[in-house]
Amino acid sequence: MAFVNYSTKEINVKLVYCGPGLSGKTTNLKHLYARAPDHAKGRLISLATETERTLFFDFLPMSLGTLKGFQVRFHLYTVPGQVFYGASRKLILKGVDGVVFVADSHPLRLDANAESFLDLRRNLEEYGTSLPRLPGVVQYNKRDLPNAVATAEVRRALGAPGLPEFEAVASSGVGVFETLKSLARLTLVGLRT
Amino acid sequence: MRLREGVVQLAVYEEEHRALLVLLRRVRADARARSVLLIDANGQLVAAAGDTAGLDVTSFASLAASNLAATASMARLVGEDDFTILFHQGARDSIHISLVGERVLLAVIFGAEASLGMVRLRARRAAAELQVVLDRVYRRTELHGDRPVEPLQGLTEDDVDGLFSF
Repeated sequence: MAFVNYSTKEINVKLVYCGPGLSGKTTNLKHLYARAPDHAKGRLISLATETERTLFFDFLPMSLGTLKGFQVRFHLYTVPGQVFYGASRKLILKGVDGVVFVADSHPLRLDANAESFLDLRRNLEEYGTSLPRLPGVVQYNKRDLPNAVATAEVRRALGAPGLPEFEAVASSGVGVFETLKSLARLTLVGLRT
Repeated sequence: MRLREGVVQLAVYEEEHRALLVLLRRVRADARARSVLLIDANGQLVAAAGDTAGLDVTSFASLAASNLAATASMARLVGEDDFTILFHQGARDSIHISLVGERVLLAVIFGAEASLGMVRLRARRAAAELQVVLDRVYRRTELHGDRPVEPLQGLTEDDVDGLFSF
């Protein structure tokens, strides 16, 4: 639910990073936090376990500037990827304006990608929406793995959702901003009409 | 704004925002609270009154909404519809969070100069009046449901790309 405050001249947009456990959702946010200039970012909050696995969510507010006199704020969230955190995942997706699905390119994670994507689709359905009517992009992460599977194979595992795609190595920042920029574009332009 | 497959885009206009601020300021004064925040269920700050300097209101709003959402889920696990009030007591400051209707929450941050009983009373009394204004916000949202977000009309992809030029 994009929240527009005409009084304070703000547009707030909620974007959520989804995907299987350890696919690199938090790593995406950490890179954005590390590289965004101070004036453009808020505090990165991670509700994680002692072993740095996301327990509830990560949250990074970004305020990138103004459009037509309105301050545009992106509220970036990650959901916990591990299967048993389904309830938390669903809560975070409430009111979402756009989704990044972070897929893992490791050959042993094909099933996990498929399962996680199905879980995302089910959750969105329960909120009365679906991809691609809700803006979404797919990020094929960990492209630097020596045994990374072809993106076509990951795409097939996801059921060829027909969303914009990006290859990434989130740990070194490759493709991270491109992914976010693409989703921001889709989301804001989608709100225009 | 428009309706998108049941996902309503909330928009607050100046008139309602001013009315909400008046109510929040009154809660703050009557309860002797440090600050009072109105937050939508998705974690977006709607309005705030009082001393918010030094408070990361964006993060606070996100965490408060998530907190309430998690608590509501726990409520359903034990057969309750909802827990409508959360209270967190600190050594210096405390936080009282209550539901206003189904889509908004009222967070009151207060110190030792205020009492929990007074905060609870003022929050409860304000809820009905806040709801009246919020109903106006929702009605406007529904009335204008098929309209695009006004400030984004004429927006180009280049405009969006410009946001990332740092």
